[in-house]
Amino acid sequence: LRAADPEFVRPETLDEALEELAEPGAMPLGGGTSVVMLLKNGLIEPSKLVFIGKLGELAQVGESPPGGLRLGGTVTLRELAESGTVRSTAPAVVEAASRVGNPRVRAVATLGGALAHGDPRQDLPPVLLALGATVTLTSRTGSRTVPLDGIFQGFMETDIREGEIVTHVDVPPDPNRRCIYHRFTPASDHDYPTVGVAASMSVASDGTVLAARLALGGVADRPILVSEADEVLGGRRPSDSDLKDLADIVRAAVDPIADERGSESYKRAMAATWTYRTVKSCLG
Amino acid sequence: MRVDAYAKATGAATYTADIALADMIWIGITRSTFARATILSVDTSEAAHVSGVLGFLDGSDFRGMRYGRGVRDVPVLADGEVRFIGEPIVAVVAETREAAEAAADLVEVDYENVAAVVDPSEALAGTSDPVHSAPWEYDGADPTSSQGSNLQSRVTIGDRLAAEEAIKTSLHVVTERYGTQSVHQAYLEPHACVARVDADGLAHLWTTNKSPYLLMEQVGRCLSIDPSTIVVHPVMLGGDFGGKGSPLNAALCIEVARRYERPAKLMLRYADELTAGNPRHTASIQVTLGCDGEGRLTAAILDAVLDGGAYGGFKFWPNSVSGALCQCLNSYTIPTAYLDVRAVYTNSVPRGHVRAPGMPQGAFAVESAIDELAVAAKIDPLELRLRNVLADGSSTVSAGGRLLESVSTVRTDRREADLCPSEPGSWRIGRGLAQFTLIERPVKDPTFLNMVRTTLRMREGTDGAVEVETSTPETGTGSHTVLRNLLADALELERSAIRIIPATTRDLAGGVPASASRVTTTFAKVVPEAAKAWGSRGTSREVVVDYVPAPTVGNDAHAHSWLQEAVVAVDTETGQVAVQELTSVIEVGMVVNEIAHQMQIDGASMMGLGFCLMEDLAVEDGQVGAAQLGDYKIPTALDVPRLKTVLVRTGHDDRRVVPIGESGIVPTAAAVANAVYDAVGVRIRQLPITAEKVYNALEEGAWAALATNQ
Repeated sequence: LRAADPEFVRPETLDEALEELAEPGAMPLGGGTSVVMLLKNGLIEPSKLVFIGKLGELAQVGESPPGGLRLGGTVTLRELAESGTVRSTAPAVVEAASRVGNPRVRAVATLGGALAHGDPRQDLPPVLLALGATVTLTSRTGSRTVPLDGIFQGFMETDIREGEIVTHVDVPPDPNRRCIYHRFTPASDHDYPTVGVAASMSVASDGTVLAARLALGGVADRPILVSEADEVLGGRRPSDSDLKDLADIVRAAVDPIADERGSESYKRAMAATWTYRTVKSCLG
Repeated sequence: MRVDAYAKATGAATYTADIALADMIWIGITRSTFARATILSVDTSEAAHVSGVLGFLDGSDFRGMRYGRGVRDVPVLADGEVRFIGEPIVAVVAETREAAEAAADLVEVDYENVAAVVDPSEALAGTSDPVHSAPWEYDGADPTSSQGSNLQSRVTIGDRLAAEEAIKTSLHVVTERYGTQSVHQAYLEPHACVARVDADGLAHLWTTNKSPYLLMEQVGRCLSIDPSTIVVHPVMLGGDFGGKGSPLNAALCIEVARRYERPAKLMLRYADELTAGNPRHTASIQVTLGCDGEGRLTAAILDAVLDGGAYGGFKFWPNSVSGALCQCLNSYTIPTAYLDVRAVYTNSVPRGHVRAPGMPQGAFAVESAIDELAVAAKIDPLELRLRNVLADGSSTVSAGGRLLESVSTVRTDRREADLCPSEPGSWRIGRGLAQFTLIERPVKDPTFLNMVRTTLRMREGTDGAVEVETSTPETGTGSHTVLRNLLADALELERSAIRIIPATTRDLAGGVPASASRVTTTFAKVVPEAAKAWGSRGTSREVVVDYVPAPTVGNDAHAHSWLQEAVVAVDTETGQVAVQELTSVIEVGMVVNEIAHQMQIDGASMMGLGFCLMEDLAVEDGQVGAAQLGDYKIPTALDVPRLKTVLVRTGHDDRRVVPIGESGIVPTAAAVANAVYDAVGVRIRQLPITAEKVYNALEEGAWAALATNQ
């Protein structure tokens, strides 16, 4: 570490952690897979790192309410990937969590970190957006529960405020839910996706879509929820041309940043192609 | 088990990073932020306030001193002018690494910007100020002043007019230009160096370098000190892949250690590796091929420009990469050929050697062009190769034809059902071939022969084991294991009865450098002599074997060939290229260590796929884009396709050891490019073959088809 090393504290309880985090310049550290990189690159200069990775209160995976999920902020990606509860309720979460980084990263990286990092290329945010998740943020002065959509405000910018941590994420129950996540990594499998597409559909037994949510990662400065999905697909048995319409809407709605994973126009085209493919396999 | 396995698995192995000497000081480097500029002033006043800073060195401390492997054109610290972004300007000396690096960031350099030479063809045209005012005056320079101002080297072979004449009368002709990008060796261990200078003047080095005896010469000549007063100590190397053959910071570290009378250490960060290492030469290669109605090659013209970056001193010789590139036409009997390969100076990161320097670039161009000629002549690409393969003649020993003949068996054995990805996509399957033939010409140059001088000291250990000292570095390839296994076989001992002891350059007179696929072949020649000497040692407990190869007798050239066939799936809706299978058919001699041999084939194949599909050390206006390995993608275990290997014995000499380390990387890119064409009719001539390039080509093709239909 180049700058003066921050103080490192390891509170025993959530209350102690929130107390430490109330101090200006303090920053929570879960698995450290993002924070340490930012520190090394001199992008953050916290005065204190508050280690919350082993706080038992935040490490629970629960089915509450029945049919839904409550996921603690320090649940690791590996725990998500290996959880039978998560798999049976929302398999797309397993798909996303099991593909982030590598086994070393997944063993320590946390759900809260994946959200708080605000990196638009992360896999879990679009999946949780599609699932209609809410996030509960807690500081010394109290808790607030907000739709996940409002959290992401720009490239590595979130509405998570100083002193707050992600205590848990709730995925609402839906007995008719089908959800799927596709990540498109055309060069190396071991890379951020050029585009990641998550679809969550509530589908009646006759194939009628009761509700549809679609979210994408990697194609804007933040993960985006495509609000038109429900208008295009909801209340009907979507035809192939409905899927193409939705793909066209996505093509126009995304605002990709060109990088080594593709130009702006390529990412736009791939967002449309993978929207079509993802929705099709979700309904199929 | 490998000799180094236990030490590496337990962390006991000593790398340069692990070397911590008493009273050691650290060096941090302030680097250029301009591709080209004159240095007006250097202000260290703020940096000097960092606690623990001891002092600064700059170019004025090394006036007239340059280092290099072949040509000595690299200043230790910038000489009043910077020539690439990342060039070292100031060395900060401090008590800790943290202080040295923090202070290096605070050194203020005032520059006067000068228009940079960033385009190699413009550099050749000489339209802007030359990168170096008189590069031909550097010690070891290849070109002369009459050859133009930005030339690092030029290799020409054949008669241009005759080749052009033969092309004119050919029935089928293709002329295309192919481009390959720069790639980094991507070894895990960044460059590092520790130096200590004793009161008696002896200078000790622990450093990430694979050719210790050459390093002594290079550093000695740079600092004008007697090379024999430099001792290079053995350390493990965390990967080399061609990139660890230069002195880099060794002269600087010695000078700092001498001035401050304390051991000095410098470790690069990976950002420094990417911006200021010595990556692969970027290449632009135009190939013209002609054939007659039967598909017999009539002529070839190859015109290549290599971007050598700001300095030529990272190449073994100024023309080593250019010369190796010329080998890419070896696989064929061509009546008339002309090759012209130029390496040029530009204001960008100096290029060096990467596994099989020059060859993957040349093979991509030529083997793509062969397939394009096959299309023009309406002949199957395998058939075209079979009709023109280098004959096993009187002066060249070659098995290329037998390799090509085995391809049909490879195809018969393949299960087509295995070849379609399970992921969603509109997949089309294609296969593509590419080959390469390396010709080893007789070696008679005594300087060159002396470079591979190899000394082994053998003695009886107190526990009865045979202890063998070697100063050949272990770069991670298993060279010490090869030595142990060969000795165990020759002495008819258990492998556990041989102990390899790494030695300094002062302990032994020579040790073959770990370069140019030479370690195993050299050990295979030294070991029989060593075994003989050991057997006849009588009562003496120690034997020293000193091997210098004799000049090759006769003029026979040995060719060894290899080919690869790639099977790819291309998603026509996204352009994604998913390599499903890669088969290597390789001519081999005696295989010393089957596992290590296979690992070299598989590892090189994956490096070849990285070069082909994703690795790209993009340099824009002199600036390397990647600042960390997170930005520079190389293949991982998840990207490994089905790898198959067919070994074909040379048949000429069972005891001959044929090098393997550089083979697999060479034809891969062309094999995949040819397979992509076979799958979807899209020809990509600029590496890497990204999904987006294929997608765009498919979109243009679809548009063209639509236009034709209307």
